[in-house]
Amino acid sequence: MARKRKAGKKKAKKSRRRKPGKKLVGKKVAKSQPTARKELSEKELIELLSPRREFDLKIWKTFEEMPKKFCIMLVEKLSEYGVLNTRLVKYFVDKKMKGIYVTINKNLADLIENFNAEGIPTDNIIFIDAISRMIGDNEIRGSNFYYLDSPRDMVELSVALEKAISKIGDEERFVIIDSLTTLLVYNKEKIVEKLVHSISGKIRAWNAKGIFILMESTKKETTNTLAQFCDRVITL
Amino acid sequence: MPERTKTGVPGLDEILDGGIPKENLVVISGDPGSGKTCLCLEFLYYGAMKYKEPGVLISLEESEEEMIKIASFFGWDFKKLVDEKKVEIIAVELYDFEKLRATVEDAITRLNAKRLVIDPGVVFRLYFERELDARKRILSLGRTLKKSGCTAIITNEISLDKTSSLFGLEEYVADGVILLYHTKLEDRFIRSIGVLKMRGTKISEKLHPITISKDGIRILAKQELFEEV
Repeated sequence: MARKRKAGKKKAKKSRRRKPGKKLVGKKVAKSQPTARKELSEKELIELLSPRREFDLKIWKTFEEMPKKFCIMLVEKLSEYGVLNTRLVKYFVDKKMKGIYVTINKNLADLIENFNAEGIPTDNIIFIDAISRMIGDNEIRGSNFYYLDSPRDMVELSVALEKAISKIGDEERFVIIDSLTTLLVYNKEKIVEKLVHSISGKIRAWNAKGIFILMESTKKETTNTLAQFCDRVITL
Repeated sequence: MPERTKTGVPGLDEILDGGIPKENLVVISGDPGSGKTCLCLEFLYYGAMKYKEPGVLISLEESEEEMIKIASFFGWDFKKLVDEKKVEIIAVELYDFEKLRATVEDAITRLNAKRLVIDPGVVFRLYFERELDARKRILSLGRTLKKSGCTAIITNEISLDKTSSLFGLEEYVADGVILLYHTKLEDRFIRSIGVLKMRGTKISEKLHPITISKDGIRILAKQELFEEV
């Protein structure tokens, strides 16, 4: 119960002003001790020094300064491939974005297994798989999964992208095409160039973040032609 | 602006500026397996179901039962439409052109049909020994069809140069020509459609990809054809 002050009496303020002649005496403070360092476990140390962390930092540094909508070509080294893609998806998912992942390299079942192993939730990602049906792999049933007959089905890929983007709605979204290099294995360059030109236009119209993945080993001439359809070419 | 007959085929009206001008005669020329019969069945089906326009199918090759069976693959109940007198399927066997013409006229009148399909038109050739006779009679049939008040489609096989039907005749009679391609690429086939001509219509000059599924034929009007056909 609050103590009631008698009317008219003001609470005396404790003066902090130093009275003349008096030395300022503060509270006694113990000599500062260095803050005890938290010991990292081996697991934490490995995680901190892992390539994944390095990729996370690179991704964060690159994409934080990107505009709201963009279309870029991400050139990857063979040694980075797989890990970099996974961390890229993690970056977007951590930002609560929804997106589309077109997989031409890896069958969907293995891809989702990778994401699960990395603790990346896939509920907000729509997958378009251009490889599983061709190799005769089992298909995962679900409204977030589209399957193409083969990586040669360019029209069907375009149609599937449009269906997928309409499902996501107007929220901030990403589109990852993994990878153009594999598309070039199955299709003539002119066809892939037309496709990239078409899709990059659509990605911009959708106000989305588009990433075309291309391996470093791709022919320079092809890379240069494809690059003209993108806002930037990035190597992390 | 001419009044238009909506085909009901997804995407087709888009590339035809809204549909086929009413009472036009259109030839659909295509490769084998390109979807000519499917497109015509879909035209009649949606004509009857969606636009309340009765239709007549003159089948010069398949029987009525076969046509009903083909339509059923796509979920179109033509038997019901025939029973309800919304569609009539007439399988003509005798190679008598005048009898054919009379059959067409009678069926249109009987049903008060607004849509007509003759499939496949290439069989007309069997009616005549001489090219000149064929030309005269087909021209005359064309006039009959135009007076019938129906929007009519005749199907045909496409020639090797891929721009006209086998004898090039019907395209001169017709108000419109639609081409269906079923092209072999390296390891697969792709289907596409192009509008060669359509009177009174701003047509799309491009080839458009098409798909045929259990729901019928669909023209992907907004998609590009990435391959060279």
